Amino acid sequence: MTARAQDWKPLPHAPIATVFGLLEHLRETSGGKEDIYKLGGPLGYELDDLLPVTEAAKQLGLVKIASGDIELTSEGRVVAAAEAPERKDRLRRRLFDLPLLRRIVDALKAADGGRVARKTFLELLEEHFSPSEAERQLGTALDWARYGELFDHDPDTGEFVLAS
Amino acid sequence: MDATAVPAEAARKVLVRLDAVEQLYDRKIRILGPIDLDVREGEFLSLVGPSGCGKSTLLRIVAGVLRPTRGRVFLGDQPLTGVNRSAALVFQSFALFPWLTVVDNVALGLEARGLGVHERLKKAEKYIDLVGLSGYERAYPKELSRGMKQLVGLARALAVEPELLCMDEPFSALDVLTARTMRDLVLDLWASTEVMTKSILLVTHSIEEAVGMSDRVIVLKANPGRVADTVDLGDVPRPRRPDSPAVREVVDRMYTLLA
Repeated sequence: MTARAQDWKPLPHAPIATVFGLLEHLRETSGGKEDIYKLGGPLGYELDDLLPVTEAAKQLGLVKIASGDIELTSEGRVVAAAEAPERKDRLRRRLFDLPLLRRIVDALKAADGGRVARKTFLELLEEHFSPSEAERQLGTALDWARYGELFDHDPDTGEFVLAS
Repeated sequence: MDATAVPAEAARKVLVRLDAVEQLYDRKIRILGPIDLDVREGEFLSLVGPSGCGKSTLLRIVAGVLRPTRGRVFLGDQPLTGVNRSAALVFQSFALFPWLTVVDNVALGLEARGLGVHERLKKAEKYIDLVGLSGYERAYPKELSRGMKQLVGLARALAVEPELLCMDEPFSALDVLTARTMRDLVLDLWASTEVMTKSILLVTHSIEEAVGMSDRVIVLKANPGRVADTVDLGDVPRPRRPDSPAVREVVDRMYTLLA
């Protein structure tokens, strides 16, 4: 695997549930659009804590952010209104489009039994991030991949495993 | 819900009844009661009030994990003498076992109820799926966000298919965006035909949360804990927007009562 810089676009460290909370908030309280600086206040969020959530929603194609406004995309509107199983289906496709997740899934698909040592990915990430950030990137990737049922981690062997 | 299919609040079967329950500290200082309280079949009941009003104590008495100093507790028409086996608990602090995976944490309560290993896993999978955690079965609690941890707590409680789900400040340790998602999920599950549990007792310090979710809200005052008001919200349709006039009016009334 040779990696170009854009293949390792960092994932923002936001739990999926907070992304859904953001979508629901936008859908209900502002008709799908709001000044981004106004978001923090009523939600009790510091802007620093909110930015990973808005960035995650943006990378997943659920919101657009332009000239200080944050707005639900049409996909974002559908996901905000959907129930849990449909959300998962739709997000699964979006997650697969994120470079880091796609690279891991592609590597697992090419590997025997759909398994690759977690360490392999960590070493690759360490070429682009500090050791602690590489660790966090892989943690967030695994968290999102589990939500989308793309792959899992087998703690007994230390391998990532393609979801069946 | 179809209004014609639902019995009037007062006509519903009583699941748990507290009769003149009192809690004394050191046998002489009254911290709670005397309080009468019915938890009815199929209702979403909330206890709301400031800290020290005894709301969590009441929940623990209903769940049978705490015996009141005085007064009687009934499960149906039988006196409740030990742990209430028809109730399951969700805690603010999640209370997961760190050395167990998600699926093992959820299946744990089923072992205590005497189910075989195959049945336990099947049931655990079902509820993990319902709360949207499928994919995380083999994760350990430390790998999960706080919201995900609380989903495990919720799946574990629902998996034993209790008649009554008792939730003690389940959203308080979560950030606002996560709490919002979780409230919607709990209401969806409560309305879902997949979930057996149809009665919920929620303890919260948030008036908005209680009014947004419940059929009935019992407002408690502190020192000693006592009932200030009972508000029936059965007629207010869901989803309830926080800025709707009906919701605003009830919320304002409760704040006035507690102020």
